Amino acid sequence: MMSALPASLRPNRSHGGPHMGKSRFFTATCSLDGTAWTDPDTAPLVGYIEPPGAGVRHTDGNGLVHIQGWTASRIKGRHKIEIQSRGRRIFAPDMSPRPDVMDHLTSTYPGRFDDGEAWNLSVFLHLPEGEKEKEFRLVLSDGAYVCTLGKYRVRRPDGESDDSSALSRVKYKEVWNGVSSNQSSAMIAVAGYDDEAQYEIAAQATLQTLRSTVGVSQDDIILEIGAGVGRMGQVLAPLCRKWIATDVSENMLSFARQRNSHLTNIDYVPLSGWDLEPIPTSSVDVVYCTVVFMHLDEWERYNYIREAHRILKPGGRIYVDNFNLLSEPGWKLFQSIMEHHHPLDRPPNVSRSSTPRELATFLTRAGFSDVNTNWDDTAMFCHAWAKKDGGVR
Amino acid sequence: MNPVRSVAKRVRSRVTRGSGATSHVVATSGRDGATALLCSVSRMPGIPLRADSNGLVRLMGWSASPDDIPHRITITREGREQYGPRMARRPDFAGRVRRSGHPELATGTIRAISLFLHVPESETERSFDITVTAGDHSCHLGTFRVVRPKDAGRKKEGHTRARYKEVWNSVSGTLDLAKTAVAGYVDEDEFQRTSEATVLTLQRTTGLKPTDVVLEIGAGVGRVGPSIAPLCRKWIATDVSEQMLMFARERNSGFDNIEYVPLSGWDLEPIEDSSVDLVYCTVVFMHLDEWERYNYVREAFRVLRPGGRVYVDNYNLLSTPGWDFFSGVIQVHHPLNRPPNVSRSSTPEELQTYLERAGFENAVSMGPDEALFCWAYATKPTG
Repeated sequence: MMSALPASLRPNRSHGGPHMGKSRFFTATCSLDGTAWTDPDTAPLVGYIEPPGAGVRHTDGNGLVHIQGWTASRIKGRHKIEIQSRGRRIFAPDMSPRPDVMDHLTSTYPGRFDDGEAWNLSVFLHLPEGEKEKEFRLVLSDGAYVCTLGKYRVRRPDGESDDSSALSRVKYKEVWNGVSSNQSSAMIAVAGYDDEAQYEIAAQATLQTLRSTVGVSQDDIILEIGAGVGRMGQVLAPLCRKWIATDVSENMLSFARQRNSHLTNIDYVPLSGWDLEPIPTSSVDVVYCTVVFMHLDEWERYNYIREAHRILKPGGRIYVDNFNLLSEPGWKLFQSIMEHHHPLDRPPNVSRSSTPRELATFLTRAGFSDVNTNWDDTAMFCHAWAKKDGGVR
Repeated sequence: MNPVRSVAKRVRSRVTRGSGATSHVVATSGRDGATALLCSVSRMPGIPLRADSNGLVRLMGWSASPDDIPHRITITREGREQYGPRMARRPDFAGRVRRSGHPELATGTIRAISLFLHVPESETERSFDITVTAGDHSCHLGTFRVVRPKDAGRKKEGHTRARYKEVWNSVSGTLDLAKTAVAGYVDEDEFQRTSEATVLTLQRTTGLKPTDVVLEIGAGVGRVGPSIAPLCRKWIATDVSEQMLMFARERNSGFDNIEYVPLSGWDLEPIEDSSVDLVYCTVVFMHLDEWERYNYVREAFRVLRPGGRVYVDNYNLLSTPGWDFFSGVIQVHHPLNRPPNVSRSSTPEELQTYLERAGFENAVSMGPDEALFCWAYATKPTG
């Protein structure tokens, strides 16, 4: 067991507490350069992870490994957990305070943690279907110290297939690949019609919205979350340096590629369904997401905004929208959904509403500034846009 | 008895069999030879309708009248009326109206009939009477018998959260489990404290009078019972979970002014129209989808007497504790393994919209930044 642990993680079975899980406790400490561990009594950063240690982890039926625990430091400062895989950073959740851990530490180590803070650690490692094994590295920082918590090799257990048969909303990939087996059904699934002329009109309208909110300039690298069949490609790609069409559905992206084959400055990037993992940090000028939030659960809406904040360059801009429960046409849509679907028989991608302040809250909480919303009683959609701090424009 | 003949005397109605691929019923209502209301649905009454594996049958059709007056569907089961769904304007159905033999109505008001009849898992069949009314006229479309097939097989897996009954019965096997599921704690002192807090909230918002008949939507283990039952005429504890109600009954056995009513999961069907003075729903909306939230508000409007009051709440995405809660949900559950009853947030304006759209007046919504919850309350018009 000891040999399976990375050098940076040392078990210390003498420490435990009433609130921190049922199995064994490990106190990990690390030094400034993140390579060597120091004495737990004097270390600036301590933590606990369950299941303990690193090495090979087997996934559950959804392809997930859940790693939980906490970290604490002697000084106040927001802890940040980072997951890396194949050299890329992956979405990891914010860490929230753990006052129960602080109580435990201040009583166990009197005087040592009085000015410190403890944070909750909860990380999901996901092995996509079709992949055999994936390696993840967990890195923790608190502003001053950085340490590697471990390397995990995530594998699917032998002879076990996906056991969750329910096609729920959050199985975004299956849902959206499922409705896009041919171009026409893909176009109807995203817009309700498959008429190219109507697509052109709608794309021009979206362009106008982007111009009047975040602006579109020739130097911009622009990324669309949920690009679908690439509706925006032909109007936007000629106006910017590069247009990155991302979507959870590979089927959708293949139609986007066909429909925009004459344009050379487009990247097509398939997504997991909850993050922008393939996109490097600080690499994009504008991120937008339109007529997509209705199909997402509230947590994914926020995750994408948070991811947008990561991939945007300083000074980068973001635009999002959703159908507005508070407006007259928005209410009509809400009612027609009630009419057409019994609670027991709603499709997984059924449209869910937003209120303008929901969108503004997501942008503010993700760290954006200059947050704006725009809506009126006669419009189906509410719009929200903002800016990432820094940069020169 | 042919159900279609049972329409009010002054109303002439008839049933015809459609010539198309699907049989249908057409009912008309009129005076002096002119048709005042014409209705059509896709299924024949009298022939048992086979429900799908969810226990559902969908009925679709239209109604047409020469005057621009509201049409309303009423579904009656065992003598009890429920609201039907809203009837949307459908001028594009003019062709169907024309083909039905009443071309003069094709230019009138045309509304859609679209409704679901449901037989719960515990029953084998249910009968529904469906009537459309417009002004003084009404068309009785018939009595529809829906049969739930025994060999329905595996249920269609869909949106699991909406299987409210299964979800909430499954988390309430013991009293402690049930308490944990609804509140996150089992301590009776804490239950007593939050129960008093809920009553205080009602007193400060909707008011609470000794003469009130009070109904709670999602009463769970009857947390509020000990504090509210002594202060009102009758307390009606409703919940989707029979299991929860059983614990509610045990915990409140000392009171004789309490009724326990199990629900379907999306309406207040067992409750009479205009029979209640105060309806409230607390720490429940987080577990409902937005459509059920609104439907319960709409149902509250129906069961309340004129002047009756309603109170609803949910955790507030916009407040600081609300945001911490939201972040907690993200941390604890991966998108692929969230439980069906995972908590969803609201904004105060969402709650206010539901109350206003359902017809309530003097709606007030609040969501202070320091509070986990936002809440809204209103009154049913007296006029």
